[in-house]
Amino acid sequence: MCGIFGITGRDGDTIQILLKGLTKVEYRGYDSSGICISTPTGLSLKRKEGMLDNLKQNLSGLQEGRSGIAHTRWATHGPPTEMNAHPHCDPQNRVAVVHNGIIENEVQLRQILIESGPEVCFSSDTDSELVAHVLAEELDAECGNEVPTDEQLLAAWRRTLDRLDGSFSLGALVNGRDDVILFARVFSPLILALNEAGYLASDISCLAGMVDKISYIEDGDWGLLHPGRIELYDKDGEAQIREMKKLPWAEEDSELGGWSTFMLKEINEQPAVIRACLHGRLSRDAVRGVKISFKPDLVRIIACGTAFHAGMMARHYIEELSGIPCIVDHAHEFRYGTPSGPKALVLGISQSGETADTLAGLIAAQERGYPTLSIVNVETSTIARQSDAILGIRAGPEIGVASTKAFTGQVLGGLLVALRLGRLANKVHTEDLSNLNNAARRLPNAMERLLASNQLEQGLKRARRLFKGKEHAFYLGRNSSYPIALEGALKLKEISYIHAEGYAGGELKHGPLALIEEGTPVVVVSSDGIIQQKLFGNAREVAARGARVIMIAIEGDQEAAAHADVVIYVPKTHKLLQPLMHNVVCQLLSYHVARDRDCNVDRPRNLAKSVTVE
Amino acid sequence: MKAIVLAAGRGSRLGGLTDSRCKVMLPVAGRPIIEWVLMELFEAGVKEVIIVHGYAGSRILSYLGSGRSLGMKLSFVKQKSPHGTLGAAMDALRDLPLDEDVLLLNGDNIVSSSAIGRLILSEKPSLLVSEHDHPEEFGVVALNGNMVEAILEKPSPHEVVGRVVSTGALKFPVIWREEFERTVNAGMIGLPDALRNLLDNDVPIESIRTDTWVDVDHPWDLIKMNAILLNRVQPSLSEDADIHPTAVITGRVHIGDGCIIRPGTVIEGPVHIGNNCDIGPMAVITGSTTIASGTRIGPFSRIRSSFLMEDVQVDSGTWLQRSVIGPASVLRSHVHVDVGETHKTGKVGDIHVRRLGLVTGEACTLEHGVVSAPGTILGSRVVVQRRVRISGEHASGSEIQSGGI
Repeated sequence: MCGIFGITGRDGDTIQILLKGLTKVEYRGYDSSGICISTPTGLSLKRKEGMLDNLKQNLSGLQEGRSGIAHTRWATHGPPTEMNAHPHCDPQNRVAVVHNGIIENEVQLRQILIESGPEVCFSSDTDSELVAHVLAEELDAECGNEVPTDEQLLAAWRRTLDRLDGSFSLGALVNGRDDVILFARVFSPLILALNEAGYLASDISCLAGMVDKISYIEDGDWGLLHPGRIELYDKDGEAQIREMKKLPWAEEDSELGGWSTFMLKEINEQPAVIRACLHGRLSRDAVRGVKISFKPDLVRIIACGTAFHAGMMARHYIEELSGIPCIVDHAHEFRYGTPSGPKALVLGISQSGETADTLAGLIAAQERGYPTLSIVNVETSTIARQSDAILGIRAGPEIGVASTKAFTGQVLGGLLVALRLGRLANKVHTEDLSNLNNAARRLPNAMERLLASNQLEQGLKRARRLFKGKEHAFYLGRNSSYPIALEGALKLKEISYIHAEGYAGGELKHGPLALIEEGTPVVVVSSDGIIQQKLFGNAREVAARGARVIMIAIEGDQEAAAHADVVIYVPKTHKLLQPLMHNVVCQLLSYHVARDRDCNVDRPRNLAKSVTVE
Repeated sequence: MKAIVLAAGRGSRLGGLTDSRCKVMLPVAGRPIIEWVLMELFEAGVKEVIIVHGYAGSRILSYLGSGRSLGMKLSFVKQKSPHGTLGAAMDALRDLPLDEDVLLLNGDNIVSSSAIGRLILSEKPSLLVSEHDHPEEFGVVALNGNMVEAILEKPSPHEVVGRVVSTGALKFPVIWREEFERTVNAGMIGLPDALRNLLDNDVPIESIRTDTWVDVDHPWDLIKMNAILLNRVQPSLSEDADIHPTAVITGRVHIGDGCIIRPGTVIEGPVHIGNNCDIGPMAVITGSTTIASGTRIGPFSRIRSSFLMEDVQVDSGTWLQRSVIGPASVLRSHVHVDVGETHKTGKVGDIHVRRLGLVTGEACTLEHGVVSAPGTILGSRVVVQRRVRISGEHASGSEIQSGGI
């Protein structure tokens, strides 16, 4: 949440580069945005509320300079107005600060600042502004009104950071020093990069195409970013050099190309994600690359949002394939409980690997002595580095705020974990593995066929009409299709703003049925066998009360049409993989319904990618 | 000069091979056909291309992206009008300035960069023509000197005036779109119809000849296109591939990232092997063969002059030649494919195919010991049970339990 980008040592194109980078991190927040440039005559600031385009169209008066910091905001403290937009300055405009995260001792800091002098006034409601005030105060104590030297900057910056509690990444400019950016990272993502200039960013997507190598600095690191050089200290104040790593993604991976939206692009990338995720890991006689060396007595999965639904799928797989009991918790709730059982494995799932709640949950688990394994997309992320072992889903950059292809990767990650546990528990035999492997090899092609099919296009066309003018919708599933129903409902509500709920079919008569009205759209995520029959029953029950039923059924299911207004067929695959196929239809249905309502599917209101605050 | 590339067609004569992709995305010699087309355009100096997509167009968008890796600026137009090639061309012409010339190419057949260069240099509107053994399958072009006199679309045999046919590659002024519109309004949908109207109005169209035209219409054409394009593949063995020291690799061979080439395997170029393939031990792959990404070839299998698409699995002891195997198909052990001459029905009449093995659509399964007669063509998801002898053509989804020749 919130995207930071900064650059020092450019000549004449700082604003242009900052805007280019900011565009790539806009998905992290888009309430408001701003830029501050360090020029020979002072700090030049421009901020705007609303999406980045607003800022781009209102740049007049912003001066060019050698260094600059930029920010795109997802509001936590104070509404998304221009005054609350970053960068924030102290009253004398001596420093400018961009901030991602939360300053937890905000109240105390504000009190101290107010008490320190009657002339102190705050221009915003944010906690971030306080950082600018504190830094200005420390600079004043260090060197008065003089231009600070590197040593003075470091001393003032260190004392500033000592006064802050919370999780944050920071970038700061100081008037008179247009050759340096101050940086710090405490439990929030920050990346540094170098060529002849110096770069700082919230994530790698804005650096692709600008630099070749980046440094994922460690928690607690702080220092000065110079053109072509990093001066870095760890949390104990020791000078350190952090390793530079090759940028894992190409610039083109995070571009739209010919697509109208990232969400549609990413839905269509899912066959490729399946191939990449399973490559070298699943074969006819072995599961490789899942680093679990013991058979746990219990698996505890922690995740949030879409990853939580992937966690529910993982639970289904783990219990089915290994017989090991499994509990899925929302990461934020897990922290407050007391995990039990001696030999438990804690499995975290997060696309970005920066999800603050999941990270906190994993740390809590580690403190209690549990081994942790994380399923992540960004393999260099904080969660990946914090966990005892990781399983990367290899989905490539996911830019659309509503997660699609990462879900598919996470579900496959869960399946691999389950297979590994099943092998450890001697429950998965070579023949099972061989069958599953054969089906998995065919899955990408089958999904490609689904995506190309005219039947899907026509079905979606008819289904989306049923959502016209509706404010409520329901998704029903059972067993392995239940998490898909939940995920389908989440996708619909996050991008179309239609109130949607997913229920297990069996739960219907225990309450939700009361909500069915004439014309309420109900999506039934079907399955096969006995479960299918029960879902048909549920479909009849809602239809009898006026609901319009959209059934996602398996190709060749003759009976489905009798129980639904619209049936969309998906290719048949192995029963463990079938939910992934159903999910593609749910994703596309949400997409089209949202587009019909003129919603911005890549940038839904109030949301942001990678939730880095708790 | 900008170019328009038409890529909206499914290629229904290719049967199950285009169940999940449009024709231009068939990965011949390691690249989708459309990428070969774009590379020729790039070579001829064309950097801006408008691609008209339709059926399964998302595959094109996913693969080509912004065109940056090709050094080109690509834009994409989804074909809206249902009016055939003419409608597709009109959709692309809509936003172009009227005073420019533009190139129009088919995304599913390949003309050389030098031929494109000659089109660009020509002062008049011009049409690229070539000679073909089956002119009746195409638009036959009647010439007067080097000027086009008439175009006869798929004429009956007695009407054929020569072997010269239209390749569909054309350079013309954007203003022609007005004529295209008139043609569509008159109820015709083919580009040749519009050209005929222009010729009737005495608009001069120059013909430019090429003898390097590679077209795909039927599945067996892919074997020929594959052989021709493999000669353009740059030999390279990925550093990320695990190639056993006892493997013997000779000739023009490309091996992609993440491949495992197991002991004793012999690969004689020209051969293209995509990424993440697992081959051998003791497999023999000889030219001209393309093995697309994710494919597995088991021990003692032998493959020659064939085109295997993504995620194919060939078990041990299988003998495959002059064949096209659709993606995600499985050939169990000891499948034997015979090669010979065969007669197929084309658009107009019989086509004599000199040497053809087996063609399968997507996700077919040939169980152990299946023997395939020359020219066998399967749709998609066909299952052939153990030791069955197959021949002829079988529709998608069929299960072949028993059979003889």
